[in-house]
Amino acid sequence: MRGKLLCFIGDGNNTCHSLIHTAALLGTHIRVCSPKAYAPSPQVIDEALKAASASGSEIELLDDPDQAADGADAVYTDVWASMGQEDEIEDRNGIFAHYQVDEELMARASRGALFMHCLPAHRGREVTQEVMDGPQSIVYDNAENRLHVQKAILSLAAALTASATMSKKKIVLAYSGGLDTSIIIPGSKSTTTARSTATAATSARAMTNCAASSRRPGTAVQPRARSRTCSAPGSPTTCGRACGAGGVRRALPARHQHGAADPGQGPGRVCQGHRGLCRRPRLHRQGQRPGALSSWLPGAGARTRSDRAVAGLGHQEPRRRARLRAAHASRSPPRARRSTRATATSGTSATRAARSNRGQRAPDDVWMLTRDPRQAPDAPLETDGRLHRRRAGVAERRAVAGGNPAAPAQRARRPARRRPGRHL
Amino acid sequence: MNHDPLELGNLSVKDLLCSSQLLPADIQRIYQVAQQLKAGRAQHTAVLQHKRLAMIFEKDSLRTRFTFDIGMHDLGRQRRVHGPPRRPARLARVGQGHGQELERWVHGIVARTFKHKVLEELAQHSAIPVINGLSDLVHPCQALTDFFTLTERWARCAASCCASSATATTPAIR
Repeated sequence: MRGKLLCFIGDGNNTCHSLIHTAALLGTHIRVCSPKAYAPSPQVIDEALKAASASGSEIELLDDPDQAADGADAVYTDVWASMGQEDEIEDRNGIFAHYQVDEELMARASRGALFMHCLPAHRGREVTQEVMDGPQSIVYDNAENRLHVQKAILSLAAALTASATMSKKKIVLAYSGGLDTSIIIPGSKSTTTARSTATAATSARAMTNCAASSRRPGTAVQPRARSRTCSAPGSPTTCGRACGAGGVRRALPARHQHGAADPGQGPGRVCQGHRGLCRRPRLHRQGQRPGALSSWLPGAGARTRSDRAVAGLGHQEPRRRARLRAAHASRSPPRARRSTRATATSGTSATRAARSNRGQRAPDDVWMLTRDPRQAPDAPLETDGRLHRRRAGVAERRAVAGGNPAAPAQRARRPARRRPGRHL
Repeated sequence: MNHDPLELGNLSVKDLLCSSQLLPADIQRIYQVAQQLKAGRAQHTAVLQHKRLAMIFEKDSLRTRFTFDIGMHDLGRQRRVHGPPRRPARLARVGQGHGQELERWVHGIVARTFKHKVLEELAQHSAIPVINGLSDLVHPCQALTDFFTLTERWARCAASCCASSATATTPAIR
């Protein structure tokens, strides 16, 4: 490309501008030949000259076509009146008559010079029939290449999409209550290249955490018991919708963050927080609304339960949930659970502490529940709660133990393991 | 998808509004990928699976519309490409909200506008890539293709007659 000479003859229009820019970047010399009044824009030339000084390309502006074509390796022309200039056609035909590319002009160019036209061509105006359909013309090869080059642009732009909308290496979904990770994790895996990890805290546990952390100054935890809306500023949608049963803001501890960043863990390892007893009615309904979760869902058309089953998206059967609930009720809960449950339902000290904490807004990036993948922060904020760290260790082990990234949906249906305070 | 040898890095810019915003390395990457895609048109069919493209044309278009349409189909084997409306859309009337709206639905926008400024606004207000399919100022897709074709030709020519001209044999695509 370097050192070759492209000669553009005709109107200094948008195609001409882009040719100048591109030639300047690639180090190709370019000569533009047009009537003085139709020369390319000076701003474009100025800008291109900067690039040309780096690449060693030369940009020449001429108004004599014969002189311009001398020794050119390729001759390029375009229509005299571009789209939107149809009313000027008559005038332009007169002004540009001298600028027609014919065999005589091509003969002035170097041997084997190529003829190009960006199409649609008007034979007999800017180019003669002989040149247009002659052996030097690569007009249709070029037209074919529009497809290939634009495919390349699209492919590269798509890679860009993944990184622009998700300039994230890792997504951490921190949630409490019923977030349907069986949809969101595969969804985020399919739409992004980021690693997806979810961590769960039940309301009761998070409440305890909040109660503990509320005594610690500067802790970025805000309990939002039973709330279904997220008030994160700048969030286009309310996170509460994605959050399902709503619940408690919980900052992700540093410990978990490292665990999730472990490369051995791979993408999409899920710590399945809900065990079939949690509620997720809102999410479920949202999931059925077309478009509501389209940014997460691989098959956004899946609306009904059977559709979702076909799409491999998990769904917790109500009957099974009822059975689990019954089994759970018949078992006497361990002490720790009993106490946290009491906290969650009846407003004991922890809830009060949580409520008193309500006015204090957590920083935006702590709050990671969002329906929009783009809103997910790079890394969760660290908190300094000792309690968090201990709990996070548990979550981490769960994440590793339960980690089959290929089948998060299956995991969602797995029988619940008993662990105190894991559900609502 | 399993044997995809394409190495799709990122361009240095989000949008392709004007070729002057690209780096020479970007152009080389585009050409590299274009060459691969051209050679393996039947193989690289899952690059843009599940991706959607919005195409907005304020002006009439034949080549740009068809090539992007077919390109999307080639790369994703999908029928559903969001094509242009029957009547040309006027972006300017809708203003900046358009980009924010579109980014919720699609993964990229190709737009042909009368005013280049409209494109710039569209790009500025959306997180997805905006590709210029001709504006009053520039036509980057066309120019990039032109040089791709020239590169192909000149490389072929240089290969066939490299003995005669040692100076003009810079490898075209590297």
